[in-house]
Amino acid sequence: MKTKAKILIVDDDLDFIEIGKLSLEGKGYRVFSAYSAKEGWKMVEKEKPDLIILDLMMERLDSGMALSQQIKNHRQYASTPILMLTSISRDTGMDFTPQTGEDLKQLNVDDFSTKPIKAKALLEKVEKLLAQRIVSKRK
Amino acid sequence: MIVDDEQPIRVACAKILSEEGALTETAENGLAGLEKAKENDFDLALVDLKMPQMDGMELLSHLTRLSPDMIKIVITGYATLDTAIEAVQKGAYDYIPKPFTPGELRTRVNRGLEKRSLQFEARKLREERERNLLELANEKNRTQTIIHCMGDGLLVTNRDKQVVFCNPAGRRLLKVKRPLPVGEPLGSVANDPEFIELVEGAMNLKEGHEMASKELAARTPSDPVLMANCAPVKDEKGQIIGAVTVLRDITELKELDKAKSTFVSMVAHELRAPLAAIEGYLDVILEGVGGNDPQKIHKILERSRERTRGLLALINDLLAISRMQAGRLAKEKEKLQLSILLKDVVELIKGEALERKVTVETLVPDDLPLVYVNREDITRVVTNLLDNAIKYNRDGGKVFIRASADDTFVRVEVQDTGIGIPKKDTGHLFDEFYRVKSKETRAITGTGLGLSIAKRIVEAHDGHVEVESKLHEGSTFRVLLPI
Repeated sequence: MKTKAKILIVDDDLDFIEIGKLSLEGKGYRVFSAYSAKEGWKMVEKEKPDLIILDLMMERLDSGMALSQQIKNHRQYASTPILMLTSISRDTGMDFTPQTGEDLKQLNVDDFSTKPIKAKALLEKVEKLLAQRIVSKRK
Repeated sequence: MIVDDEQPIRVACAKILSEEGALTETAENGLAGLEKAKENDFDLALVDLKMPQMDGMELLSHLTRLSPDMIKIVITGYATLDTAIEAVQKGAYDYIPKPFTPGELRTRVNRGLEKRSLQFEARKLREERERNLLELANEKNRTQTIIHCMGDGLLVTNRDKQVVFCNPAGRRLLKVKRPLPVGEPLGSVANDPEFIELVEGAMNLKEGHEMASKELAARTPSDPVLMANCAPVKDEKGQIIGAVTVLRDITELKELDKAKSTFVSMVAHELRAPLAAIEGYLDVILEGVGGNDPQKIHKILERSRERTRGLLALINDLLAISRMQAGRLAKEKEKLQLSILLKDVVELIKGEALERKVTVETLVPDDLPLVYVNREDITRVVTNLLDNAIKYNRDGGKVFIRASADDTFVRVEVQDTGIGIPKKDTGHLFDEFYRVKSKETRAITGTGLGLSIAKRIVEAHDGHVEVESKLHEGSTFRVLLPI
């Protein structure tokens, strides 16, 4: 069941999508991808993923944040865990890195990591988020 | 000159003085003496007082007026105190009562001549001193003018940090609109505590230090950034009596510096992105997280190679930019027929066009006016434009390369039937590292430097580059090069 989870990667970096896909598919996940927040929303509605890996900065500086808000405000997808990734703090000097659970809630995401992220670390985060989701669903 | 109405005296004196090496002339009365004095410049005259026609006293007056440097010695048989005083008042140097011995005459004459040369020496010195004073005044004037016209600010303060002098540039840089009275405290002129600290520091320098320097940040955005060099002013004994500060506006330098570091950080970002991707791909293979499907691994390696090539292209472009900046002035130019160059580039790029199923049509006349350009640079520009026209085209698309000329410019146009450029992006197209982000451009690799290099090159040739584009229909890049 766990290995069949559907994961959506929303990122405008072709290489990141490719690497994420390769490592996640290697673990048996089904992976879909979108290159923009707009495409991302379409894929959320179409594929109803179990987890979303979301880049913060795409077309605009806060494209990812807008999409996470859209997802969390939607009844049907509100419980879908979101892992937000970004290299924004180092690129622009703007540090969005959340420090507390409160910060994560503000961003409407369940976990956060800066890029680049090692394939292994990404897999660990994905597994942890999916496990939490299963637990919370059982509750 | 010997003026006496007694012939024996004239002869005797002339003989005595000739033996001393003097050239002598004689006159038998005052009038004759005056005539001789008008014709010759005598060093010394012996004048008898009692003479017919013009007496000695009158002659003395005339001679004093005629040549003030002439030493006049009165020789007389009627010596009285009154005549002696009168003679001295009329310019006589000495007074010898007759009769006198030859030795007496020699001594008195020699003393007179000595006096004369001393007089000359004294005058020379006086004139020299006057000339020096004049030069000094001129020098002072010149120094003042130079300091007044200096582009850098000059500010002199005393031991108590009161302003003693400030040139106009100094007032401008410190934004002091009013004239500065001597003795104004430095604090009321420069309200930057760092400046005051600097001046204090310069008056208390450690052994071996000659100057203190500090960059003074702009206090408001309209203020200049200043570099202040401050050195102590010492008196002859080496006591510090104040400080002299030179202020230079380095705002432009700072801006250049900032632009440079922005560029460096952009370069770092552009270098990191592909390297991070390559590392990511290698991780997938080495850590085995992606499974070991040979086909997948091959795909990963291919993509990594593509990214590596992109990195190399980027580094080559960066080197081109740095070369351009280093050797901007010394580029070798030649008179060139662009039609040949254009056709050569098209020939070179045909393989790439074929691969993308794009046809290139060359509409270039053979007899374009010659342009004076660097061949390598212009080849680079044309190659870049054609490369883009093929890369950002659609399958089966077309590229037209045209050239024409008017009286002032040769015009080269590269038109494609590709994806076009959104309006919001056209303004940034020639910016370094600017790339249009869209679904279509996602998979196209590029350094983001090609067009910015092209623009630099064309502008270095006093030319102009522009773009027209319609989204989904295609773009036309136009280069104008002066004839």
